[in-house]
Amino acid sequence: MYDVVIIGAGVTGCCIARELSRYQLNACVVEKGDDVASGTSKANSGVIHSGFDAKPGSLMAKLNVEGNALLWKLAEELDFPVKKNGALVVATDEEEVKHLELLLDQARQNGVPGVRILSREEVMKMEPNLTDKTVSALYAPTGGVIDPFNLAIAMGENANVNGVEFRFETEVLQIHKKGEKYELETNHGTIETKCVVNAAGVYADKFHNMVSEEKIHITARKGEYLLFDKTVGDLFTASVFPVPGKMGKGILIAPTVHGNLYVGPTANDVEDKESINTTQDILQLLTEKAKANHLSKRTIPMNKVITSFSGLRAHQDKHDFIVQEVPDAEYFFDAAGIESPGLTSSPAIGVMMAKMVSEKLDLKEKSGFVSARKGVLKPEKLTDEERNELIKKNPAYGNIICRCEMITEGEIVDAIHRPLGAKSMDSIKRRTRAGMGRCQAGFCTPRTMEILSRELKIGMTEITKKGGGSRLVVGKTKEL
Amino acid sequence: MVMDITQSKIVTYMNRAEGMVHIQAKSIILAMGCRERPRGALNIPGFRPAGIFSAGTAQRLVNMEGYMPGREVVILGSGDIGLIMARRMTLEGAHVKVVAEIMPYSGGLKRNIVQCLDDFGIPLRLSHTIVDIRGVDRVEGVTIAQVDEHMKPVPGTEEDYDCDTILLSVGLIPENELSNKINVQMNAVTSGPVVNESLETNVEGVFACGNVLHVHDLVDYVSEEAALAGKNAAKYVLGKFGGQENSAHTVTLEAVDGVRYTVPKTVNVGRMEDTVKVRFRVGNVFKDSYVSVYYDDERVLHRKKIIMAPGEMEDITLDRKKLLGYPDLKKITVKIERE
Repeated sequence: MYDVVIIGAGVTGCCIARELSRYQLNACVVEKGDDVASGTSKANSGVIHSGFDAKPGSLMAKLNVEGNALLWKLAEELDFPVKKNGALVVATDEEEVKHLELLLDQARQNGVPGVRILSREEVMKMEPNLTDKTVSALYAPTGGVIDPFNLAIAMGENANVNGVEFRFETEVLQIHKKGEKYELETNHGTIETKCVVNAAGVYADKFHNMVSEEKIHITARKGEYLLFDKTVGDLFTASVFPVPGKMGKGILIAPTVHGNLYVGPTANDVEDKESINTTQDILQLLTEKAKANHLSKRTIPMNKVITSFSGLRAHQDKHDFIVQEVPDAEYFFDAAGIESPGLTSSPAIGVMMAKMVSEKLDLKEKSGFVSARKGVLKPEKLTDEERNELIKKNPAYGNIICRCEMITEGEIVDAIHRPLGAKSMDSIKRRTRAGMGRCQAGFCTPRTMEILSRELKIGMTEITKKGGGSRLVVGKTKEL
Repeated sequence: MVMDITQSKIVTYMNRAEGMVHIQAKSIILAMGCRERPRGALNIPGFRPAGIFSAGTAQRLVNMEGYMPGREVVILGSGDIGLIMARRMTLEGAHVKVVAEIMPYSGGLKRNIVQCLDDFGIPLRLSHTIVDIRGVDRVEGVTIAQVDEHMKPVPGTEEDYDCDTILLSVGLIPENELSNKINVQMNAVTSGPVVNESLETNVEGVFACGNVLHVHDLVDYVSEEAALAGKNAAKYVLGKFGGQENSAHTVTLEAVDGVRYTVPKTVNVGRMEDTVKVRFRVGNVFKDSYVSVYYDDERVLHRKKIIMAPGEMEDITLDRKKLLGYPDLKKITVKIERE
């Protein structure tokens, strides 16, 4: 029997697992996907929010500001990419200028450091490509961008190194309270645990409602994006937001941490929590947004779109995070309603949840907790001499597999053999960026498949895009 | 693989045996080829399951690795690789249900349409595109719809096809990332470098040939071009590449009225060989029309063609002796005329 089972290996579940791994306990993360970060955590804006947007007094506001402060240090400790590029909310008329004042006041109440309003001259100097209609802008220096996959991967790996077990492709079907323990029925048998942490994203309401009479409701709010080639990634330095509306922070035109540019997200509530498809109407709308690009004087060339994708926000009816022990279900904890700024808040959610669970179970901190982790070695960050030394020792680092992102065989092998190693094409992509470039894996797919096949000692026909039934090839030629 | 090139012609390459190596070149020939346009570049809506391949990826999997990407296939785009893969997949036992092409004409060679689709009874649906992709893990089906003259799907024309595989043959993009690093001037139509009669770019001593210069239909033309680039690069290195002294004789080629571009873009009459082949593509299907060449305002060529299509390259030949007879010539115009 486990002390703690965490449902969901998204960024929330992984952060909780990592913080809990500081204690002497027997913990497990169960995840229905084949990898960490395979739901909402993999399809979002990758923005580190400073915290001016959240409602003062809300848990969201508190955890956002705390999470922001934690992330910069964690990025060094756990070696994942972040960039403190700052955030701008741009006002283009007097009405919007008034709104900036409101945001500034909110920022002060939330305790966001350094937020101020910039004059047109100041902001145009900072971002020369902003529209001529710019009147003024709110500037949050602690805004940033992050590689959302590698935050979850780093947290998950570190938790795993510190003893937390991960069970992938394991879907929780039902939860029963049996005396002092919970029984989780899954597609791979029953799991027993003293304590459950529900970090199930858009499905958090389903699991909560299995054990509690005080029902919660999570709506899947879809956001669609267009992602552009790195050649247009220099449009803005900061993450540029329009003045926010009712459904969220509005459609951004912003750089990613890796230097691409994206336009999105939209916000539409959907019934089906598996509907991570993009839709014709919304892609059309995003295209028009990008073309009109009312916040920039430079047009974005639409032939530089490299892909489109969508993600689902776990929107809770009261629009706040729920991080709690469920009042009428002892030993059952929720981390629910984790929508934006959930990514930024996740380290703080991890800390908060670990405190609650460790107090409840009276856990002792363990000696020998490993707090640091090295990410997949990136040869591009080495000097020529270091790189040549590396290639001499391991020639796989001299072999480019993904031409667009210049990813070597050595990096792919590293991604496969590290803790919680990659088992599918998408999991390699998220760890190394192989296949994330302008040709979208057209060139490297067969080569990456060969490496996976060789390293995992499985046949080519066993290789999947993302686990489950997502096999890439259906058989050999000349056999029917 | 070449990782970097600089304006001063330092080429950095890397491989398993030597690691990172920098070499000082006297001349560089750009021959990086092209890549296939991916699904994302077309904004095709729907899910992102396994089973969506570019035609070239599928070609590699089938022909070189010996694996079948799927059994029930829908192909989007009628580029030559897509057409060839329609036949290949059929011969390997797959069922190719339809080829949808958004344009009102095919982007491939006529002979490929006949030999790869018609001979196997595979329908080609012109002015059609994919408007939805179904399947969370693996492709389960697609919806195709007719498009109007603005290439927007027409509501009510949707048709569903069950399939486990989608192959994309929707265009090739010259891979000019290295060229851009040394500010090689680009042609917006070809997405390849602007070159002169010697296939030299605006950066002295840097030449381009093959699909990085402009996407070809036949490899034979690639070979011809490559040989010419090699010859001129060698001349350049040996100091035998006549240069600036003849620049007064440089004539610009202009592509108008149905001609999308020309390669080369300029001709230095003093330096050109006895003949220079000018290749171009047309922007639409032209029947019973004429390829016309004007030296300034004088029409010097009027060649009848029964049919010309965007999928097939056309060419004209410039003759040095003839050009020497026009010492004041500024502009050569290539156009399509109805009569």
